[in-house]
Amino acid sequence: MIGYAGKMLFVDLTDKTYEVRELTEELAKNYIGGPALGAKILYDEMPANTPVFAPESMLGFVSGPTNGTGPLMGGRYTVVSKSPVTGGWNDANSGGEFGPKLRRSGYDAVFFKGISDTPVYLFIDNGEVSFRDASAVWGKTTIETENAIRAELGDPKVGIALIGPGGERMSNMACIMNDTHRAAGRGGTGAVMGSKRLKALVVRGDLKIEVADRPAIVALNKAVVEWEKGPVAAVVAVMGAHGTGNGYEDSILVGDAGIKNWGGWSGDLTEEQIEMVTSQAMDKLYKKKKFACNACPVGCGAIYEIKDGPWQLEDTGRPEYETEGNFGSMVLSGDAQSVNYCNFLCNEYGYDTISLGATVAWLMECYNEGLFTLDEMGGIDLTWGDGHAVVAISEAICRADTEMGRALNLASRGAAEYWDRGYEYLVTASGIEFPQHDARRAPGLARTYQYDPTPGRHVKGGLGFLDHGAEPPEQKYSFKDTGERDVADVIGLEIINAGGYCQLSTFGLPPGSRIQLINAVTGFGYDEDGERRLGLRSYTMRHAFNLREGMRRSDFTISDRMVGKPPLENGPLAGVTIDNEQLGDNFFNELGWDLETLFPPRAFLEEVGGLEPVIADLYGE
Amino acid sequence: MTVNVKFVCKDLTEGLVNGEYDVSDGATVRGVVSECERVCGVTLPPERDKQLQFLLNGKSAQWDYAVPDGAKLHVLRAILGG
Repeated sequence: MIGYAGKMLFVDLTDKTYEVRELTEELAKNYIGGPALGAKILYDEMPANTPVFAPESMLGFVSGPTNGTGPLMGGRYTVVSKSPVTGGWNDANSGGEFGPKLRRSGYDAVFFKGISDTPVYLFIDNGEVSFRDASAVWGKTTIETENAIRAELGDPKVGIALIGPGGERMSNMACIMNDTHRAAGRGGTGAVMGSKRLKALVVRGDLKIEVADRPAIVALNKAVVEWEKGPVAAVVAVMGAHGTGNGYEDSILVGDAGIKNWGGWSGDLTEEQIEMVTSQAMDKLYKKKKFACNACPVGCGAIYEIKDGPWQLEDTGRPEYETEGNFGSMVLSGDAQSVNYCNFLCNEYGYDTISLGATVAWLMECYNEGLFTLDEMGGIDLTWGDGHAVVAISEAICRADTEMGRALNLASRGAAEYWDRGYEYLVTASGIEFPQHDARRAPGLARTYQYDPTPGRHVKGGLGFLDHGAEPPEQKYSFKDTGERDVADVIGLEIINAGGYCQLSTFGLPPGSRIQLINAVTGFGYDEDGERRLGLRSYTMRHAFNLREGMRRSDFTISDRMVGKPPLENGPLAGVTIDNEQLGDNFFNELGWDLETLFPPRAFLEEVGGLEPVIADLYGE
Repeated sequence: MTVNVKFVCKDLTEGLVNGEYDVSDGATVRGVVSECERVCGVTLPPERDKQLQFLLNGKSAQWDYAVPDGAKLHVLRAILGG
């Protein structure tokens, strides 16, 4: 099929069997890829209310049509599963080279079920599938495992998506890594992979995917290059030079970044503490070279080398903005080397830097409020701002060789339940920690954080942290007339994620080009209405997974602190309280959904189309 | 009146210098930035309208906000994070 490898692989790890299925044009046209296609497959194939670590629970690696077919900024694949954290739908995406390599191996998507009796990795070599013993790398870090598998296969360029010890022990914070420094990080993807004793998915191949209109892709890519040399040139340049952390200082000053477990403001940090963790400052000290994901003209990645200090590192990935915030401002630390070492630990052991850093911040607040003793912390003095203590706790989590370390592997909410303490300092949406964008600055984020099918994400659209954050207070804190813009932006982000684009394409691609590039690859010819319905179908399918699990509006929660209850007393966000119920009402009213059950009406589902199983489940045939 | 201006996002405001600027009474944020451009001999491109945001005495401000005497103005990037 044009624009696709045209095949999906379904693997049963229990009996080491697999089935190759055609990706039909109808399925591809309705769901194109990424989380949209993943949600459709899991909805159809995975029984409702399957326990997340049961054999019937499924894990998918799903590419998008832009992966490996030429469109700039189209290099991301998506991992899909049920989340061990929220108990609902989960998808998380990652860049690097893995997505395009997966497609070149012959498959648009690979889905796993079952549980292997021994550690295993799956190797796809130009369509040929083999199960390989992973006993020798079980327990190894991600880099050790990558090196071992590449040596075993005699190929340094195979694509590898894998877990570290975090996934093996099924931590709620475990992620799936690829290309050493890239992560499908959120929602506990690595835990699901670890529960199946699947250490890695390894892919190799040279399939060339036919596209519908190569000249159109070339022309559109030229327009992207011109766009990035034009109106957004300065933004692209700084993102390329310093990565996503280029605005760390700005974020702290305006109240976008989390400070002191979301309870502080910029005045809690010195100018030097802020400055030291900026990417600009760290680049001067540590930057060795930059790198870019597949087909990316921005190139926001970099490799650091840290030659002095207590935590020396060779060829380590530059911390992303999220990581700087979670191991910097969230714990009131200005210790750049601590931030880098924690980032390294998370990558090596396969942990999400957002959830792990935020869990450390939660623990730090608990400790400083007297809920834990020094003894209980294994002698680690968790005074705010101590980078050495942050490293020590992060190491305890990664190594999990103490009761404290094992408890913290449950992430903040799970650890609070384990110790039956610290609930008042939890800051989560449905149990998952937040990225470094404060909803009190951009209130629409609160709607996304609480009600997206994957709660606690900043990459799911809505009135997010860019334009909305900078709007006049009287406008953004009125909580009125948000529904139309909110839904429109969600549709855009669904297309980005399903298409396999990077989030930076929100400014890196000229308006309108995302769907044009997808059309040039697939030939599907989506018009404006087709694009709208595609985005809504993707959102609805992910949401329907949660509905079928029995989740209703009241099951989607957000911590009071994130919505300003009580409001902060200092800084640019002082006095702000978010009416998130109103923002939720606005959003779901715009969709026409029931405000209590969040059921989409039958007419909505029929108009969007391609949702027949959802109609049957909600309304009968 | 005088305004203390700090350009935090130096890459988007290249050539503009941190410091105290004399501006006319009742100047807006845009007026202050214009004065900074005049003094430093720099002209920001029009797309900066959507790429910058401001804190005026620590509170979020817009281009058309009036700036009081002795104020501190932070000039920051609007596109943040990742």
